[in-house]
Amino acid sequence: MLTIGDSQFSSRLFTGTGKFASADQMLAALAASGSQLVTLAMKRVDLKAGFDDILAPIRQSGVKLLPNTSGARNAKEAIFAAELAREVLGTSWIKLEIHPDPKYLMPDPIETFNAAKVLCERGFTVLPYVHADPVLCRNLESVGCAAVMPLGSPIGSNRGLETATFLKIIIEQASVPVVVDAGIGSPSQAMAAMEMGASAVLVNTAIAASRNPVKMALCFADAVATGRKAYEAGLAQVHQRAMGTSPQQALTGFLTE
Amino acid sequence: MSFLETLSGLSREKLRMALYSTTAAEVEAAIEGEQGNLRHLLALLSPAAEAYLEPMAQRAAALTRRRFGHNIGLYLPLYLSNLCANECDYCGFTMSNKLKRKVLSFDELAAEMAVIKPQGFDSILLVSGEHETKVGIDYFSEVLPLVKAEFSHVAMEVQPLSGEHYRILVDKGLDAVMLYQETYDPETYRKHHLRGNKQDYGYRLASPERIAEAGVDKIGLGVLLGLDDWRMDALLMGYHLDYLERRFWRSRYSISLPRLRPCVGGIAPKVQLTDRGLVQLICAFRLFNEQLEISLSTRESPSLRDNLLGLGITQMSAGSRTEPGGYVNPAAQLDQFEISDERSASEVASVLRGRGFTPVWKDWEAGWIDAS
Amino acid sequence: MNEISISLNGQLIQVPVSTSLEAMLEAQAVALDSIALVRGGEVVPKSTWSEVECQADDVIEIFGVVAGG
Repeated sequence: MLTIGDSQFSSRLFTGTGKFASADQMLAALAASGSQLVTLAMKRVDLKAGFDDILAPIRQSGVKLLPNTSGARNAKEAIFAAELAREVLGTSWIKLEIHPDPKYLMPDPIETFNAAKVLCERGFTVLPYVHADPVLCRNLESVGCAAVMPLGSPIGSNRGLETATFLKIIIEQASVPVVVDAGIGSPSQAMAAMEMGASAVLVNTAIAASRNPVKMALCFADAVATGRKAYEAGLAQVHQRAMGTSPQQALTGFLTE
Repeated sequence: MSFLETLSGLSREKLRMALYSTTAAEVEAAIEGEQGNLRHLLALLSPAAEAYLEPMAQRAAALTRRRFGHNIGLYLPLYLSNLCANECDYCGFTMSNKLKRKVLSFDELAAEMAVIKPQGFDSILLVSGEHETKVGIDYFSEVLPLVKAEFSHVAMEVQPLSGEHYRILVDKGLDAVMLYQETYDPETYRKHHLRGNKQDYGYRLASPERIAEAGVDKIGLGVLLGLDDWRMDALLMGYHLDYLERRFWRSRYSISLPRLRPCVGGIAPKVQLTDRGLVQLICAFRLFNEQLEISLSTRESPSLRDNLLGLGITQMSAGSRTEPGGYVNPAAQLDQFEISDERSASEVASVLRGRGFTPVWKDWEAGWIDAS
Repeated sequence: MNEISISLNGQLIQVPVSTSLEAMLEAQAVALDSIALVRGGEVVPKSTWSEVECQADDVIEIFGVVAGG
């Protein structure tokens, strides 16, 4: 079981709700994923277009809700979004994400840290989305964040664990759960993150944008579970190539011809 | 597309040119490269790779340990018959050889197994000459359940059979089939196979496909090193392996690397494969295919076998007799080829332990799946 | 009956004087338990919506939940 803040999760696959073709498809994929924590975004309601209430069916499914602060470009906006989310959903959990850069949506480390500090003081359970920066993660932990969510690669890119070297350091160092967020494009990448020792992964685009999101959600569920098991079982040592390090004929010295 | 067609589409001349013009840089790239790359295999089999034997061995040893740990599988050949309807100039069983021909009766088979079993073996390789009428599917169908009752893993090295016959034997517990092409060069093949069904190069070449389709768990390929240019034969065996693994991915694959050895009335090798060459071959195939099982027979000397252990070998025979009835009556002189490593199974096992390996007396066991 | 003008999500609408926030929202096609209300840049807690009245020239924004990562 994974514990974050006051909650426990048997599934280590967290899912996003964006980019699905329809609300029904999204609900079916969430169900298939087995996810117990799903993210939602806050937005000003478009009164003319009518209100398509996705919240009721998600609430009905019994999963825990993790509103995010997407759209916030600085700490002030993010704090405001968190307050809104608490008002709407009655949860103090918040995925803190601040990206001033609309092109690559790279998280702003300074604003994120400042917002996290305030939100933790106000009693929020803060899960900050950050670059795979080991020092930043330590700092966020020290101000009271319940978990850290470093990225694998740019959000929505499906590029996988480009930051693997740094994720390993973060995982090695963290004493709060490490949730690898952003960039996981395939079940194997999710599994790799889990094998590496991540506490959980958050997947959205890779499921939503696949041809068959329900099937893909099942695949991610399997991959995450297997990756976790492999991590727990303990992977065998990867041996490095030995070429050039053996001046003496250690293995072929018996050949005298 | 069959492998025969695939093979026909390859330019041997181009491959030969590439083999013999490989550069040091290509070898270095191949040693570092990912597995499954035929270009890399070519480089590793080339003369240019001879200068890189130690780094190849280092990597081969590491890959083998990563995949197989410190286990070495032990098996024993059990010769059922030396009857043969083929004339092959490299083999002691060849039709025209004047030797006492024998097919094990079921009682004799039981007696052989009674000698073998206490040595610890649980993996057996049934071998026969190629005599379709007297030692064919009927005989094998009766023999297999008897052997399967004593050994959890049963492999066969006999004449190529039809797909239907392979399926019959799989139902009776057949786990593995070793079927060696001897050489992938049709012209050389023709020169050495002078009479009998084995003259049909294409039928033999297509056999592993039938074997795989029949659901055999493990398929063994091999060439008789020395019949032709071993680099070319090994390379084309790599192509064969690649073809099979891509299409018949449910099966495991093994290779054997027998060097042509003297036998009664037999020929001398056309192309000598040195110990260095054998090491190069083993390492090249390990770098090409990390999961490939590589088997080493008692044709090789004790000291060489011991030294080859760490490099890439996963299976070896020990205490072998290569004539029918040879375990009950070791004095008989009906050998298929000369044995070089005469040590007993227990001696070999203790050498393995002494070198840090664990002798494993059985192979994969299908029984528990059948039971369900 | 006197009416006042307020801005709701960028649109000007007319409501009767002394209309509570709750009554104003009930006239809109929104589920009250799925939204947050911001007046003049401040979140107005849900628990006070029935008591707080709309004022002339109020700038009110309603936020809800949408799909997102």
